Amino acid sequence: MRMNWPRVITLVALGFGVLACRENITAPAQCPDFCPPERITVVDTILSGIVTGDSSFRGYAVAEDAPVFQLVSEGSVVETRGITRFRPFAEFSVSGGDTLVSVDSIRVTVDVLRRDTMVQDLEVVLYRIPATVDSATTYADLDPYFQDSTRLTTFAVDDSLTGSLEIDFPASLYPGIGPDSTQATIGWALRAPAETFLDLTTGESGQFPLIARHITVLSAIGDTVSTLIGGEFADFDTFVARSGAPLADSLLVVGGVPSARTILRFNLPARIRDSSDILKATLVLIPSSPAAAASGDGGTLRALAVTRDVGQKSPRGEVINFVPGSGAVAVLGGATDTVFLDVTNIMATWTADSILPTTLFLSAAPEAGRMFELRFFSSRTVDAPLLSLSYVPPFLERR
Amino acid sequence: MVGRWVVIVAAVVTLPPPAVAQTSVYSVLGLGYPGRAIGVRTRAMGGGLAALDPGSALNPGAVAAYRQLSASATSTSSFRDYEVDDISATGLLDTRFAYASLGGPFGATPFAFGLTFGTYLDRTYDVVDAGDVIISGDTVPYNEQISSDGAVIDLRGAVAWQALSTLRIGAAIHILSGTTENEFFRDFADSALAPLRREDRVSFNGVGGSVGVMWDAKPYLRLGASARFNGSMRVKLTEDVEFGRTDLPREFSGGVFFAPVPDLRVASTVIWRSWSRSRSGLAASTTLNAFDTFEVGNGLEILGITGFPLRLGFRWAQLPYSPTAEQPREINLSFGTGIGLASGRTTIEFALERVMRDGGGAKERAWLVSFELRVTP
Repeated sequence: MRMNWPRVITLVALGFGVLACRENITAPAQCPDFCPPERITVVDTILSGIVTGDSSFRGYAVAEDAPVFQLVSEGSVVETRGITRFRPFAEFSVSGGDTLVSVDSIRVTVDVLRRDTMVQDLEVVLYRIPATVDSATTYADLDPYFQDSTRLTTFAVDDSLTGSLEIDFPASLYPGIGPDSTQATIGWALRAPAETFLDLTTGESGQFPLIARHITVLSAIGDTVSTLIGGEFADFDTFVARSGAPLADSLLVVGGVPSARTILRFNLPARIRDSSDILKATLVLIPSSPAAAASGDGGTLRALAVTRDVGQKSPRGEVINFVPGSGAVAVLGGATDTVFLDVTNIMATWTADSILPTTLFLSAAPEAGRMFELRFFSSRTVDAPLLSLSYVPPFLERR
Repeated sequence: MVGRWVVIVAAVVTLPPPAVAQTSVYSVLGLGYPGRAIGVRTRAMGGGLAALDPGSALNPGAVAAYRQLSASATSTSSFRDYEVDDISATGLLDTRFAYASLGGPFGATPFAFGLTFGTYLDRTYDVVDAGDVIISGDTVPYNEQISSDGAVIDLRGAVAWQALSTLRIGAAIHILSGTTENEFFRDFADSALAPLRREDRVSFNGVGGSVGVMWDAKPYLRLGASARFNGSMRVKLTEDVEFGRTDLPREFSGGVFFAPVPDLRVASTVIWRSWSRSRSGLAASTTLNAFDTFEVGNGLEILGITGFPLRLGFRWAQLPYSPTAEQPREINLSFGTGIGLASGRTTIEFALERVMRDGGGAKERAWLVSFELRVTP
């Protein structure tokens, strides 16, 4: 048979044409001998002197605005007292034919958020305090009212309690609360065999403390009925601490009540700021004193980016592209260890957007709700903050 | 009619994606893997015809041998395996638009022109690697993929003069240009670290010039020689950041074509290139060695047996870059043929090559299949 060469060549060409549609050139490298000359270089370094401006300011959040108030037991270094002023009771309204016999007792209800379950036999002590308390009231101002003569009750906290505290005391101990409309203001203290704390909700959390009255009524048909009426919300709740250390110029302070924040300004080298890829950035802070907190408690130190730097009034933004474990670190009370705070995501935004100020805030969480305070050495000391940084420079290394 | 369809089909299937490189494990070294700006007929003859072929980009003097306007396009498919130490890769496949030419006489004058477009340096690779890196004091394993797609192209414009009936002289300008799209991807074993992706584009620019001569010493003996001088090549990043200049090699070649009987043709070409000059443009930190290269190509063309030309070739060449003191080399064993269609105005050339590259710690084996479509209007 005679070969049709044009057809053969066409078929061969078609075959290779089909093969030409596929490509597979991905192969393992044998580095460094048979590796591309351009490589990604990771720079792992610790930058000192990179924080060029730092200062602390107190008053960003106050206790009465916090969603929690922390009762720290009597005798603790950071002992606190709670204050709750309830809205005035409404007038009694008894059904037709019924007769009010007596106001028997008062019930105060509040939710417990956290406690140290290692410490047991806690007692909550309630005191009758004047309704004139306000945000200026100090721990010492309450001394005259935290006496046996004004004590309403001492309530033993169940060791297994996790929900609400319901504390009853005789109405006779609060003479102003009776048939007529009046207002109750309660002072709180915590007693325990060892230093400990209770975190209680405030109205700012949406879980308002409540006050109500047990009354006895004689009905029209001659029965005597006891009932609970008139729950009222707290309209002012806060707590005050026995002592508060002042700010010191050489130190950076975060947390406390009212809360302090620290502003840190970084002078990033141009080779890093200009399009580097930040793999990991860790702020290294050296404590000047043990972390202050209620015994068994601690808190969270957070880093917050800002979109504009106008000093202590800078608007704070949440961490962009937040991932778990980034931008926050838990610190236990009493800890003296160096604090390592992950600021990778914040620094990544700085290298991606040259307009953003290289400034961040350090704050505690929750703010002003706990007796949690950290103090660090500032840039004006030899133990200034450091930045541990792993980054990839914008230009590739050519081997 | 059948011939027209053959031409159309072949033209379509032999035009692969618009890339101009031929990959090799040696592409990752230095400036890349040197390309071969030759036609498929010359490939089939082991490159032996390179110094005497008007359709190849080596000798501008040969351009005067064009009798009529001619255009060609070439595609080459590569099927590769390689071993480097304990690593082996098999089944690698790629197809590239490797070479194109256009040339012909200026009317009835003794002058002719030739334009060629071919790979000067191939910089295409896609490799995966693993390693570890210190991040904040911790050793973190990673997987990495590094790819580069592109090449440095040699665009040559040549003019030749038929000075005597037996003597042709030519000169050419070479514009070296090209870009590589590089992509780097690194995925860390620590999920808290975001994967790293980096892309950049590197561009290359340079110029060169060449001169050549071709002399018909006898009716059955043709000799050719050429010399090429390149300037330095500028290497720039995407944003016009120049980060290097590299000296390119000088090149000298000589060839002989011998036809003892009408149906037997023998050709041989020798080329020397001073690639060691380029070492100064490589990073000082590299341990890479750059060598001058010799290349010898020999080919045989037999006519009159099957009605189609049968071509055989043997080529031995040194490669310019090595990570060790040993200079790599390659051997090509080639076979090819061609067929004229459309009353001889269209030609399809075919070449099959077995390539063996060794040295510097690597061993590479490849089959290359090339097609060329040449049209003479």
